[in-house]
Amino acid sequence: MPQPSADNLRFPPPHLPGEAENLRAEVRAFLADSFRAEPWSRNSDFGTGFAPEFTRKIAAKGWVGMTWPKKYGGGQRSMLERYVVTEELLAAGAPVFAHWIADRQSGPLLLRFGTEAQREALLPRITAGECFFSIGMSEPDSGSDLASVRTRAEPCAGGWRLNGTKVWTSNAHCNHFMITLCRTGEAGADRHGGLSQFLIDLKSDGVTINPIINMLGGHEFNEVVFDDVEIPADRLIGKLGDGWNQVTSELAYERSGPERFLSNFHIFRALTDAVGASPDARQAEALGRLASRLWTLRCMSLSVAAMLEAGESPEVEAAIVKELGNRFEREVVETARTILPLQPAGQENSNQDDFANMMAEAILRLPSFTLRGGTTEIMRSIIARGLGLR
Amino acid sequence: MSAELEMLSAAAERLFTDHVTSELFARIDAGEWPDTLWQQVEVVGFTGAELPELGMLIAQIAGRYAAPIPLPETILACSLLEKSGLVVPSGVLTIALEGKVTISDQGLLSGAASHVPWARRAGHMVVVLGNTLALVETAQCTVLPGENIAGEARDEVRFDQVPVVAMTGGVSQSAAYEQAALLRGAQIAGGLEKILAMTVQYAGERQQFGRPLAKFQAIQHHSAVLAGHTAAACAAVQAATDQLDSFAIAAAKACASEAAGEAAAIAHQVHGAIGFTAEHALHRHSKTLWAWREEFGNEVYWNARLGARVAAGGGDALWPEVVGPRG
Repeated sequence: MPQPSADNLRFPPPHLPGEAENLRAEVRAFLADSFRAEPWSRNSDFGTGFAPEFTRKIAAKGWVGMTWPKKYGGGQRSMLERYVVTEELLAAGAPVFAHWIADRQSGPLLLRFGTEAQREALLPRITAGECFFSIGMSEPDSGSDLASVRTRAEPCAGGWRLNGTKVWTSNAHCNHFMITLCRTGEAGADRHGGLSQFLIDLKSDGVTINPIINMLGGHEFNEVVFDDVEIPADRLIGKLGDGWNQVTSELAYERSGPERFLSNFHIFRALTDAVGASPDARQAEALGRLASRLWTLRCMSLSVAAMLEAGESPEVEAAIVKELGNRFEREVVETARTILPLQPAGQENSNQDDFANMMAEAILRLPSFTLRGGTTEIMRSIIARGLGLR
Repeated sequence: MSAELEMLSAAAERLFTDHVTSELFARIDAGEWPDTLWQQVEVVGFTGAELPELGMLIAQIAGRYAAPIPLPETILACSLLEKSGLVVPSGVLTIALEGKVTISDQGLLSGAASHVPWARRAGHMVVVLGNTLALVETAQCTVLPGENIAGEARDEVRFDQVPVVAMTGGVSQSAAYEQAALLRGAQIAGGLEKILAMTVQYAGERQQFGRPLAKFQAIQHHSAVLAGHTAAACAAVQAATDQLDSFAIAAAKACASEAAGEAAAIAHQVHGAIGFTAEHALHRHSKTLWAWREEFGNEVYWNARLGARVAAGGGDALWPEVVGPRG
């Protein structure tokens, strides 16, 4: 392994194989047809559109779990082909949240660490677009400091008994399962020991799901309380006590994906139309700046995807993409409001200006982007460690 | 990177490490021309490094060392002459892409070109006017010395009925300008790599409050942001070298030019007062970054061009433009 230093930041120019570009044309045609048949409200933030019907449609195309082995319903396609499908869905502002977590996080985790029985039971349901997952990591007292989780599973007859509370659990009230990180033993000196992951059926006895209303007034988050929830022994995922390693690899899968810089692409697109074909000098410069940053970020993100596909572990590069990408997502909104003055409206209004309404929602969602999936501060710490500063 | 490029890259690193020293800069500041350094890059053939890939790589490595020679300019002049099927003169070459120059039916140049890199040292100059490329002897012109903020020669050149050595049509001034911009972008990328490495090293060595600066979270985060600017500029320049179209080049030079200022500010902040001295090497690199970010179009220029293109295409065309392939 090379010494950490400034010399290790490498983003070789990515090249998509021909089959990925063919697939792009197919995805675009599908999205254009689908939008014409049943338009959605475009929002490129992956966490906004929960639409099981749409998920089943793209699952039928083979685009959920598309890199997984065929025996589990996957398509054995490459990570780069998956990248193309993901970026096209996000750029079109399509509703992807129903399958999002299962497709990119829970499924790959099961493939890597799950038992054969777990894979056979769950993966085909995911690839059919029938089975949705939540993430069970954060707790009331454990945010960025994930190693401090207190939810605990104690051995009991036939398995485990779970007690504790998870928070910020998106769509727990709609989803089928949660993969939860909990304490099963002592932490040890490095604080990373004694953690394990379990598959929890969210309909189990003892699971209480309480809404946490976000600052937009919407119900996406939940508090999930476990009160003596009995978990069958075969629901342990991976090795007992190895949860920290499993969870960190789970987080690294997609740190640098297109969702880290495209969340406000729908704003950029609408802004371009709202400015029109004859921009003044300031508008032209501002639109160009967004375009140049977006192009650069996509090159970097795709480069990381190609490195992942080649079996490398570009952890620092991925953290850089997320840090820059989340900043760009904010810049889109800040740029829009300075080159196209408007009054972002609240929910109770007769304002028919779609762009102003879209901006209002985007402004309110912004604070979450630099928090979810690892805060900007955590990203900077990962980068600093990669530079050899920590 | 191919094995051949790796080898040439290592050779360039060695050459600049050996020759671009603080003693060399002292002699440059006293008005000397770095003759040995120039002879070395000529001998190994870097002056004729093929564009895009090798030429851009050499420019980036030269940028890491703030090499005080018109190597990128000579690389571009060679490339333009070769593509036009003209004989490439030996020695230092430069390019004139800005100013107001006209050419008569008899092949005589009149007018003035501004900010011509190292015109005073160049035996020949490639002047691109619209679709015409003209090669002239610098000795036939009047050179008024000037320099950029880093002290690199940027001269004004006056043409008074100057005969061309050779000329050809069918070239594109805007394409030549784009290549020059991308070469400057590559130099910026190299300069950013250098100041990032200097900053990380200094933060590890300098002790304050009983511990290295590197142990302070504020310094760690400053350095991480600096690394982000560096990574973005390097990635953009390399991707534009690969894609080589107007969209990608505009985006890459804009990205590199913007990163230059942000990154130099962080590097100076972490270095503290020592970085503000003439004695410390940091200013060599911050000054070249501040110079190069403006040359052949700064971020405002390139972003405005890109923005006009994006606006003309409209919202539906935006994503396909970003992704490419672009027409």
